[in-house]
Amino acid sequence: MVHYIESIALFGAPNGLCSSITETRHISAVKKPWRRSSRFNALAQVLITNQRLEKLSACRQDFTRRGMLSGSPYTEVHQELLQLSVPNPEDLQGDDAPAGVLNHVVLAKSKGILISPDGNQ
Amino acid sequence: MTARKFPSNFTDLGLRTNHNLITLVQHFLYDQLHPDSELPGCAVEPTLLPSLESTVAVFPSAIATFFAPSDVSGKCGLYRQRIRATPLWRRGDIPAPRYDTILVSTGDDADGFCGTHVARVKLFFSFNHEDIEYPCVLVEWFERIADAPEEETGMWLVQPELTPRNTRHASVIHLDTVLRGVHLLPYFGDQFVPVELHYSRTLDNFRYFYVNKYIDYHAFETVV
Repeated sequence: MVHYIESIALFGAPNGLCSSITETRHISAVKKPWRRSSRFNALAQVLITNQRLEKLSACRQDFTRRGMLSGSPYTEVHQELLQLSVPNPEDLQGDDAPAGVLNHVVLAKSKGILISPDGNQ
Repeated sequence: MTARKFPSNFTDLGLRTNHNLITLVQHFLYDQLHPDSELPGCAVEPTLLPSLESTVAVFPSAIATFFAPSDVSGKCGLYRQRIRATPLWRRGDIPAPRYDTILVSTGDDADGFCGTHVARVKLFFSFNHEDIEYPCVLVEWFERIADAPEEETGMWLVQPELTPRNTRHASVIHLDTVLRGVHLLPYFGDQFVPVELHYSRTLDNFRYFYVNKYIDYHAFETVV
């Protein structure tokens, strides 16, 4: 504690502390949640908001550690498809031909209706 | 505007089209039921054609999904487009009928454009026969004018295909033979286009059309 005087005289602040540390947290933990609140029982709303933010952050860290947040549901399938070698068409005949299709057409889901612009047939 | 459903029987539905719908569906069904027959349905004795007993459902459009990695497409390069055939399409600047043009696979081994036919969709419909559902398209055919694309533009030219009796040549085909929608540009020639001609009537008012291969990357690779 005693060397704080020296530290302030030399560096302008004790122990390398800076008020911006608390200021930044004030914004994200107090000002933003308050602005998002309905101002009714604001403190309670702010506290709940902060609780939920912490839970979200913990969740995100856990998922990242488990590797759940890299890529997408299609990533694995995509990797598998990339590894399949495209067979030479000349080598395939009849039943050996690839079963994949290059295109697919389906009818619309809802049926057509007849409308005439002038109300007649 | 009054809205009604399309007729659900072939007879009344056929009256709405300019073609002999029942006969065309019978030809189609014969070919489906007898794929190894020597004669195609259109050449068979009418008494041997299957009778149609089910109701028909009409659809305003179909969705074609195909592999087009060079285009703006979804994951894994699949591109989706909607092909429309409806008597009143409201989204244009005036509500008008919209019957899109498509590429139909011919099933033979020819590559590129020669393995396809251009056709105009007049009706999307489906019906049942002996517990199998057949999604079908009534199309009016176009035919190639030459054996190669036009030199100046690099695009193929087609014209509406006519029967010996000078009516549009039409057929009913299975939806699975449809490849994708295709864009036809009119061959303007050296004449002026009437100002009153609205774009929704283009396909009915010109004699020849270019098959537009420049409309997207997949078309450029397919209509070769």
